[in-house]
Order: sequence, then C-alpha cells, then structure tokens
Amino acid sequence: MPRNTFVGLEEVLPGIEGDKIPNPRTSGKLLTVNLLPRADLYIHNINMITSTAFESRFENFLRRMKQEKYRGAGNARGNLNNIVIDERKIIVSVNNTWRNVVEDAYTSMSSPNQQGVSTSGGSLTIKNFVCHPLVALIFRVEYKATIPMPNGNE
Amino acid sequence: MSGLSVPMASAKYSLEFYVTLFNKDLGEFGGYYGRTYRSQAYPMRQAGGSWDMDKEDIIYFHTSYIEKSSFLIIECVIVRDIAGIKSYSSGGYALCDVFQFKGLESVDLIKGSPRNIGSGGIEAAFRSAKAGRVQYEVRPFP
Repeated sequence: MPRNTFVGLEEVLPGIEGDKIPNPRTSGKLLTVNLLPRADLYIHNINMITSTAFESRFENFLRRMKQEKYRGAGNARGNLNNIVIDERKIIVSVNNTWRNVVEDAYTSMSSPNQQGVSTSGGSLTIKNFVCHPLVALIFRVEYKATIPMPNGNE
Repeated sequence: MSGLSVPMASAKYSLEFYVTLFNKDLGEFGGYYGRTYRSQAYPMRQAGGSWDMDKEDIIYFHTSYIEKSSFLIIECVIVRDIAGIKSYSSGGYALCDVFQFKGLESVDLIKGSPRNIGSGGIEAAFRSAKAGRVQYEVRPFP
C-alpha cells in the first residue's frame, strides 16, 4: 500500500494472504501479514503495432512546440527539421490496484517497420511478480526525441 | 454525539467516519494529504438525549512523515435511511494527535465540517462549538 493511505480491515490488498489485513483482535497478534508466493516472470518477443505516420505526427508536434517556444527569439533557433524520435522504450510495471509493486523493467524497441511493427530488442524479467488475479502488468510506451537547441547542443 | 435530537421515527440512522491526514503547516490554513478512509456504516443507538456508536474500527497506514504538526481528522457522517433512500450529513469532526502515541485518547467532536479548517485555520476549529466525543488510539509498529 502507498504511503499515507489508510487501509481498513475490509479492504482488499492483492498480494497478501487472504487479501485482507487480519483483525488483530481475533488473530491475537498486532500485525501479521503473510505475502502470497512470488515468481519471476520472463516476457519475450514484444511486438508493438504503431505506425510510421503516428511517429511522424509526434515529431511534427514536437517541431511545432519548439517553433512556438522560439517565436520572437530572432535568429536564436536550432534546426527544427532535425527533431527525430531516436528511442522507443516499453516499461513494464506491476500494479496491485493500490500502487506499483516491485521494480519496473524496460526494454528498447526497434523503429517501426513498413507494417508499423516495433519489436523488442531483448527479453524482460519481472522479479518477484505477485501471482494474484488483481495484480496487473502495465505496459507503458516511452518515446525519446532529440531536439536541437539554439546554441547547437541537443 | 448530540445534534440529532429530533430524529425521524421512520428513519434508520447509522454512522460512517472518514479519516484523513492534515498538516497545519501546509499553506495558509494547513492542508490535507494522503488518502481518506471511509468506514462502513455502523448503526447508532440512542442513549438518553444523545446518540452513541461503540463499534471499534481498525485502520492501518505507513508514512515517512511523522511531524507533530500533523493531525488525524476523523469526520463523523450521519447516514439517514428512509425506505432505502440515504442522506448524509456531517455529525462533526475531531482533530486527533497522530504522532504522539499517548495511548487511548478521547477528544472533542467539533460541530460542522472539516472543510471549515480551510477557511479559519486549526486554532479557530479548536475554539468552535462541540458536538460530542471520539475515542481513538494510534500505535506505532517497528
């Protein structure tokens, strides 16, 4: 459970035995919580269907955003045509409906091929995955673009 | 708890309480943080001229912030149920020390809604009219 979050005895906490915090009045102990079994998870061959058009639109969006920023800045502008996405990442988190549990894992994806499919460069390992139907894997896509700065840096 | 002196005969009354964290040093009049807990509805019973609810509820939380300027705010919400139609009204709120660990404490229930703290500050809240008492205990775990 996250910090500063009150949890009652009736609330479901996926990941602990019995899904709920045991009542200390009936269990006789103040706070004894047993965790469910955990397992390492391996994810291979991730394919992400995007499209080259989607990425172009995203690059155009960044270009327009920079144009707005440089508007009225005279000659102080970089070469906006050089804005390109140069990294795509898949970040996988494990969430138990209250918060992300265990460490995120990530892998780089290739640029989309002609069919718009990006493929993962390697496999992913999720350590200590909690085996529970309410624990979800969340796939997040992160793009990293290089934007030239007016002083020549990136 | 007072304030329900003329209950409707056909209605069932129960009490929910909402618990949240408040720090008096956040902003001008303090600020809330964390997630509010909402209890189940517990039946209330009439005892003389006032209302009583003697059920115990246990809640847990963990934090890295244990400044004594933080308070636990317990809002008592009266639920009136007439033929399945529920209406909610505030029965008052209590300002409880949270990181003092003084054992079982009994504090005043202040009339009104805890939103009043946002306009008048915590000192004004302590001076407000009282609506009853609340008992609580905060225990640390290693």
